[in-house]
Amino acid sequence: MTCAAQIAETASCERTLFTPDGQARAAAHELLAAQLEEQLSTVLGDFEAAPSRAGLLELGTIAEVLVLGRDLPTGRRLASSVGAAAARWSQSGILESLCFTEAQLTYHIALLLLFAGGQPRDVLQALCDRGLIGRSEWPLLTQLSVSAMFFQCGLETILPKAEHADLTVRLDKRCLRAKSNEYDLSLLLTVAQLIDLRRIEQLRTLVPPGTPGMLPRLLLTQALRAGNWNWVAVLAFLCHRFFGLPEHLEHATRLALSRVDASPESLGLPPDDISRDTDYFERPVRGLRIRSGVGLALFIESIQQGEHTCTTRPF
Amino acid sequence: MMQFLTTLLDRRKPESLAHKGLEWLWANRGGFQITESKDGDMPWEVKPLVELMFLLTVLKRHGFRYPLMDPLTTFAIETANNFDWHQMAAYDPSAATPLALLAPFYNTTGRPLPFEDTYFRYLTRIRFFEGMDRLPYRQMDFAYSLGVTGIHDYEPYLASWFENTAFGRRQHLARYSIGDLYSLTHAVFYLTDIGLQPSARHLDKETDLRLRRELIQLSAMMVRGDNIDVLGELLLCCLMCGMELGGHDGLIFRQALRFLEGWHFSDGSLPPTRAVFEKAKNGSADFASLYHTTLVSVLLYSFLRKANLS
Repeated sequence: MTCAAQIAETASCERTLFTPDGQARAAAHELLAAQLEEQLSTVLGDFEAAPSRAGLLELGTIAEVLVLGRDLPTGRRLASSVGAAAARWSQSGILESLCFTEAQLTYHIALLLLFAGGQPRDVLQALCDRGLIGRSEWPLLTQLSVSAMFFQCGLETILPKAEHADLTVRLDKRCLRAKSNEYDLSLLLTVAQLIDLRRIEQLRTLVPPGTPGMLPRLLLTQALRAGNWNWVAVLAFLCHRFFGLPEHLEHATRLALSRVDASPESLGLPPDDISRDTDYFERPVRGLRIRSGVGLALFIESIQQGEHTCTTRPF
Repeated sequence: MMQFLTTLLDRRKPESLAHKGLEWLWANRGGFQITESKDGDMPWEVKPLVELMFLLTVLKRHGFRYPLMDPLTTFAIETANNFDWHQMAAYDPSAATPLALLAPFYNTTGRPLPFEDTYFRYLTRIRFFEGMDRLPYRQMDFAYSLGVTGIHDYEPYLASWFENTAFGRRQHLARYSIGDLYSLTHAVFYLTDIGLQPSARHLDKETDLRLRRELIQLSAMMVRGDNIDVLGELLLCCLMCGMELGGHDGLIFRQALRFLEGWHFSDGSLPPTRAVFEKAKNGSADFASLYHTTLVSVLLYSFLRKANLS
């Protein structure tokens, strides 16, 4: 059944992802996953037809959320599409070429290479060995994340020296700031990627200690109160999987999401007074919508798998 | 006799150019006022004022004396005293660096800080300023500036942060972005304690030699590039490291210096790029595009003067 047919069929029933009492609706979730597959396929197709910096930034915006849930059912399906495409682009040299053209794109390339899995990396390795890629200066935590992705792709690269900063301090102290922006979310994604690295024996010692909780939950609460569904979707997933989501906040999130239809479009964009780009990452509109859809699908699956990270931590 | 005069003129030239730069800064001091920021992360634009203070601090710590230093110092103090630094400190952890740069400036003047020192120390103690993911050289920025104010908590990490810079990671010279170049020049400022400790602290011999070699190589590359601002900082770093600029290195240094001198305007300003140079020629270049390179030139010519005299 095509996605359009599915939408038509579901139109007569309830299309929200959660019931008014906060229970996930399987049919609506399936619909969301199908739409995400379709939309991601369009993004991949656009890049394949005309590889560009803008297209890569769009893919990166989606990939940086997807990478954190690629072991969940929808995550696996979407990651498989991205991985197959990325493998083709790597074989044809497109990714290497973009990586060499602009150091700023290294993060996005590293993400795609990670999805592509075990590919021959002779060209990239040679560029790494000669100091031509992978050694430009990034903020410390991002630098660790990028180097770790290269490492996971089988590339021998220079891993940064261990950072002294405690991740809890790094993030939770930001609660004292007057205003939030995309940088906060970006930092949470980076830290979630680092926490994920603790699973890997060789990288574990490089990841600074600590698991922040206050900032992610504060941002989620703030986004819920502001009706910023674009952020709610991503933050709910991040909190549930990495930073801890107390039951009362999870319940509030489910209830709030019971007003949201099962489509990336219904998540909207962050409000205009929240800057969307940071010094290092630009996030195109279509990518932002899809990434939030991905976050929402992964949140639901994370709930269904009964994952509960640190839910006993005090809020 | 001719040789003597040439040497004498060469020695007086840097002093004259530094003085001209200060004249331009004084004439355009209105640009250092704190304004609302339109596109930055902070709602206030304090960078020009803080950079002016940094210049004045370095000049004073090195014992340079120019007639315009005192009026500029008074002006900077009056401007800073009319701003609520506490509000900025609480706004974002990135406020740490300007605040930390302000403190040594006030120390050199003997005047009280324009903010409650206890508040600043409180924010440091609760580690509020750590609440962000900084570039390695910005971490060095932060650690060094705090160290000058007597807070030494972060100085032990200077060396490891330096290892995480593009230079520390042995990036190929051809791949240096403008950001990577500023990272290197700022790192040298801190490692040499703005030239007061020319043998860069925390570096092993091999790294120290590589640093000196690459500073010259990057200067040569920047002579062909379109960025006088970075070139000026690289040459300044060569002087801060106390490099012996003879032979091949000296040739490149002098050539780069001549190239840079050719960009000077008679009013003392120094434009950073060809595009700004063209604008400055017809008087349409704004303060924001000229002030930083002019600050760099004042420092560069002051250090040159000192090198010549010694």
